[in-house]
Formats: sequence, structure tokens, C-alpha cells
Amino acid sequence: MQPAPTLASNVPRVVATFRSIFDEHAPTVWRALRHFGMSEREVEDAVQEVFVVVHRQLSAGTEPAHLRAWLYGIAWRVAAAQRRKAHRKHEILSDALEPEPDSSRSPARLLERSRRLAKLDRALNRLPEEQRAVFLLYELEELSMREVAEALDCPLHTAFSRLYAARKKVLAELGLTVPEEVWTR
Amino acid sequence: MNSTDPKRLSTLENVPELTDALDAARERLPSPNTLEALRARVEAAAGASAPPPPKSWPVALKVVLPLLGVAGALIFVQRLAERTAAPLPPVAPSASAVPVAMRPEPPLLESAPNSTLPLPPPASAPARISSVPAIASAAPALVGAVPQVVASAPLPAPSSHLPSELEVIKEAGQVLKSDPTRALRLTMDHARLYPSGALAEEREVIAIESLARLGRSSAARARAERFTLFYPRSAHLSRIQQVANLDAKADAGDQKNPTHSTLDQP
Repeated sequence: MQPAPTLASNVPRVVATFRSIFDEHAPTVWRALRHFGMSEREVEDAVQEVFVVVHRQLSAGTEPAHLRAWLYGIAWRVAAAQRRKAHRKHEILSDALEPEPDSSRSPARLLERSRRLAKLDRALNRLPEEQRAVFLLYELEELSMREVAEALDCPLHTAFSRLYAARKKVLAELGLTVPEEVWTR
Repeated sequence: MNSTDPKRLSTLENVPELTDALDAARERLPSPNTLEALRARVEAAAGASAPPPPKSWPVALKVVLPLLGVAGALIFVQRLAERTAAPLPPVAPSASAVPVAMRPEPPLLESAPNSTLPLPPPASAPARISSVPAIASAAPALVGAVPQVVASAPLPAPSSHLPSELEVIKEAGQVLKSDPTRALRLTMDHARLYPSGALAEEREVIAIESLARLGRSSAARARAERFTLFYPRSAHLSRIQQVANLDAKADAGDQKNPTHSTLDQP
């Protein structure tokens, strides 16, 4: 085991690093947790738990090689732990997840967008949790596949097969066909 | 994106049903007010969970100087009484004589009914925040024992009896199978003496297994879950998982004899 770093000398650096990580990544961690199935009520506690873990690991000297993969990995494990605690499957994404209306768009456009989003949510809700997580981290959070595998602690080829399975189901659910190029690396 | 990664769906053209929905999902972000409130919560929680500062002379002086001040004042009063040969009212120790900073704090983890370790006398405790309760509890006795204070001047002695981190954890590991109650108490002692110790991870492993052996399955599982969050790459993860799983099986079946479960297997 490595010796514990001297905390006193690290405190200012840890505080500064922690604040910058929170400011830059808290919104997307919040979004990811919501998409992982946390309710509005649960998500704030979950974000808090994620960043308490982040703070603790930074204090212990952890220097993540891939910051976003590390953060989303913690978020995924927090969400999984809360699901197990609650003994239930993820919550069905509801209207409470609607984004803030953008007043620059016309009502018709907003309605159309909302309808499309609801269809995507329904499709995502039908996916197994692991497939949904890969889909969300790659397509929405825009991690690389290597980072996705790292965040979810699975082999790279497993992450790829989950992504393709998730895509197939989502596209079928939406009744869409897409160009062949999305299936090739 | 790596060169081997497939094209993302949001970059496709001519499928607005999909790209529009993905864009909308990406706009699901917390409001600035929510974020501000979250930041305050997180900083408070992170601060509360941070380990105490390491021992240092300023902390030691903060703890020791008030004691010396009380003793010095009493010595002065006694000498004055001897000089004037006039009877003085007795000095009664009171709670207010103990500085607020020295009053006992609640335990860090669970309440430990009895400390398992042969802890050193309060004066020899290290200058850690967690050692303050022990000194505080000794303060009234010190005040009441003025003549002895004058005679022996009990300044903090070197900490020769305080067990090292390794000794505590080693002993806890040794008694884990034969006496899980004692092992659990030792982990609590370790948490109190070395809250940010280098062996905190090992302490948690022993505590979880002790709880499981004592049949405290929900406490063991809850602590195991926290362990996986705090130490996601720990070499002990599989062991913890095994303990938690076996514990779950014990829930369903034999709860009468938790100390003779398959936990004894290596």
C-alpha cells in the first residue's frame, strides 16, 4: 500500500482542484445522474455523494488519468448503489425531466422537440441499465469508447457490443434507419 | 473521440427526429440556483467528511496551554494562601473550568462501549483533535488534585504506550475470526486514534467482516457499499463482495450461527 500523502501540504491544491472540477463538471454529472434514472428528489443527494467521494479521493492523492471517465464512473456507481438501496429499478423518465423551455423557439417547434424527446426517453427506458449507460455516455456525454469502458469498468469490446445493442433498440423504437457508417469504426 | 470510435448519432444528417431529441436531452441541466445550492451542500459535506488536520505544535499548545493555565492559577492561589495564612474557600472544579474546545465530542463512527486498547493516560495522548475528549475528561480531576500537580508537575509525557496504527490493525486482524466483537472495537479505536491513517482501508475491511460475522448484515452491507464507493480499485473489493454476498445468503438461511459461516474459508 502506498503511504498516505501529507494532507496539510495538499489542502490548498485539493481545494482549488476540487472547486474547479465542481464548477466545470457538476452540471453534466447532474444530467448524467438524471439520465441514469435518479429522480429529481434523489439527484441532489447523489450529486453531493459523488463530489464527496471526489473530494475524498483527491485528498488521498488520487490523480485521475481521464477526469471525465473517473467522474462518470463515480456517478454510475453512486446511482447503482442508490438503486440497490431502494430495491427498485430506475425511475421512468417523466415530464419532470423536460429541459427549460427556450423562449427563442416557436411554440410549434418546442412542441415538436418535446414530443421527440419523450419518444427518445421511452426508448431509453426500455434498455437494460448497462446498455443505457453506454449509450448515454457515448452519444450524450460524448466520452470516447475507451473512457466509457473505463467509467463503467468493463472491457472495451463489451462497451462496444452494449453500444451497438442499445443503438439498434433505440433506432427500432423510433422507427428510424440510419446510414451504414454509424456501425463501422 | 478516438479514430476507432464509431460516428456519433448526433452528427448524422437527415434524421432530425433523433438528433433533435439528443440535443434536447443534452439541454437537461440544473438551474444556476440549483447548482449554487448544491455547491454549498457539497462543500459543507466534503468539509465535514475531511479528516482532521495532522498533529502539530500549535494544536498541541491549544490543548495543553489551557490546562497549564488552570494549574498555574491554582498554584498561585495556593501560594497566596500559604503566605497570608488565611483560610480560603475551597476551589471546586466545575464544567465551566474546562474550555469549550476541550469538551467531549461525539464519537466518530459508532459508539464503542469500551475501548479495547490499553490507551495511554490522557496527558500522553498525541495532540490530535480526536484525543481531546480524553484530556477533557481528565481536566476536573487535575483541578481537584492541586498539591499533586504542584509536586509532580504532570506535563504531557512522551507517548510511549500509544499503539501504532499497524499494531491496532494487526491485532484486529488476528482476533477477527475468534472474537469479532473485539476486532470491531479495535477498528473503532483505530478510527478514533488514526482517523486519516494509512491503514483506513484495511480497517474498513476488518470492520465489514466483523459486522458480517456478528450477524449485523445490514450494517455490513451498508458499509460494504460505502467501501466500494471510496475504494473502487481496492484489492480487497472481491473479498468485500464475497462477505456481502455470503452475508446475504446468511440472511436467507442460517442466522443463528453467523460466526461459523463460510466466511472462515480463505
